Amino acid sequence: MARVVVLGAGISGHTAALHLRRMLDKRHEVVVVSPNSQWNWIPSNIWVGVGRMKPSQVTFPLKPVYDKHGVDFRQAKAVALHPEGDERTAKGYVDVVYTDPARAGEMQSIEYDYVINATGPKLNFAATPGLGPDGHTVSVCTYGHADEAAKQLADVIAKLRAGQKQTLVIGVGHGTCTCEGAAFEYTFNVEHELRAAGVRDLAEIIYLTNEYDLGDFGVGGLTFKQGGFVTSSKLWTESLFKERGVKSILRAHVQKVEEGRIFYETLDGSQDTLDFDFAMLLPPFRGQDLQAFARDGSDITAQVFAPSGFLKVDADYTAKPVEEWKASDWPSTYVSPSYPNVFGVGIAFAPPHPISTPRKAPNGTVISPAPPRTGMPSGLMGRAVAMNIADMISGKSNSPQHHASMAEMGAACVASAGAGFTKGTAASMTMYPVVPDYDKFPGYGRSLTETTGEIGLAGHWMKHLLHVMFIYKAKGKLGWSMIPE
Amino acid sequence: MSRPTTNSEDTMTSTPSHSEADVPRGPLAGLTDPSAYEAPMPTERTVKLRTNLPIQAYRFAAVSLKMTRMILRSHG
Repeated sequence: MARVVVLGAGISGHTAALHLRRMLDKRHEVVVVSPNSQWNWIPSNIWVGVGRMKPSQVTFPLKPVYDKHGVDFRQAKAVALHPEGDERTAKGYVDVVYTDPARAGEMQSIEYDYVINATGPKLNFAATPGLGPDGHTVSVCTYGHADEAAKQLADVIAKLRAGQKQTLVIGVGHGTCTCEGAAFEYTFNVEHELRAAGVRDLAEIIYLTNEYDLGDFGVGGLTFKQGGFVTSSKLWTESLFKERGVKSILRAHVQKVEEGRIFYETLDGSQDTLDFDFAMLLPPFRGQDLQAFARDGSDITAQVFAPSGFLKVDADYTAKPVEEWKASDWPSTYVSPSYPNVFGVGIAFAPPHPISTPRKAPNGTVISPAPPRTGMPSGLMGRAVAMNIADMISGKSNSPQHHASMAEMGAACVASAGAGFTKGTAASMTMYPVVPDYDKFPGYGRSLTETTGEIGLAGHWMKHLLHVMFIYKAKGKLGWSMIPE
Repeated sequence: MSRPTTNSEDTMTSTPSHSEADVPRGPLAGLTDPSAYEAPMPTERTVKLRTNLPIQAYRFAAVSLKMTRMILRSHG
């Protein structure tokens, strides 16, 4: 009998857990540890943030799904990893603290044969003083944050209706943020809602980002064929900003936020302030506060985790200039180099380097996006790791044979630019591969056939379809495993 | 100026150095008005086609095919 412990129940962890349960026979245990009782389809938080959806439409309780599938769910937060066990046991184990209201604060050690760290990001609002729901800005990172954003946006719309001019700033709250695509989506959903409310003329919308160019999205931008030309996501995105009258501040790092005022610096060394009435700024991410200890109790956190708190896996972490970056730097099995039964997937694995070109202001401040690793890539990683663990438990292989490198997988992204079944639009993008491979695709790093982009109502329908499909899949309903990640 | 490290995504950040007195006035640093972009402005027809139901039904089928191909390729 083997036990697999999955830490986290987001897209990656939940995918891994359901596939493991499907692939392993009932003699083996699958345990999921997550501090949250609800599963959240995060891509639709954008629509919660503008009041188009309620939190209940983007969430469902995890426990009934896990009960149905025979997964042991423990609502708790992992705090320490003991990959070598201790003097009491030779097995690795993880220390957890329950967040389940019935057992709140209770500590437990859970032994494992394999563990998957899928703990996602810690929303590091603290990196920027005054940032976040406890400060002076809102967020759409969680359904609760998005619900609060919708309430504040409704207040702004009421003021606009009363004839008061309002400045709305949407973007990222630190020079090293990721998820610029989500900030882009929220910008245009807000713009769409203001237009629908008939108050767009009195509102100034400013997109504040750490991207060097519009359309970078943390993946260094995209290049694709359109209308007989090879064009870029930069041109395409700038066109949308022009059409919808959205101003932008690029290459920016937010230093702090005070009531109604953002302090920021830009890559050229300028510093300035920006006054606002409403600001949705995403936080930077770091790994969850998970420590690691050796058998003798010594702290090995720095060996197991990167300084950012993300788990080191089979990536090439050698520091090298951007010209020497290779597709092969990226991990493919997500196994820890120190412990062959420890894996890190989704946002929880430490990337070897960014995808966008890293840049610093003259004073040393890093202002460039961190690499995104959410959505479809996250699901594919979870599935590949589940297949590898199932194979190793059943004796089919002794080492991971299934690969899911971001340099060998594509991604389908649908960025909403406004909701509505007849008036909505979204940018539908595909890219292959996610991490450019200039050896395989000289010139642009990605396939010009498989990298595409277009804006239209069809994209909105697609995003809504994905919302329905992935919630169905995550609920583990009939045929769930036939729906791709 | 020495700059403290943060633990966010492996990088460094700056310490706010502004005061009301030293904040420059005038145009905001880095602010770009959308009219300044050289990107092409879509025509009214192009914008209308983006929400034209028959056209978008066709595009939905086309986008679905592209995404399916991408998904199948990525699933090995």
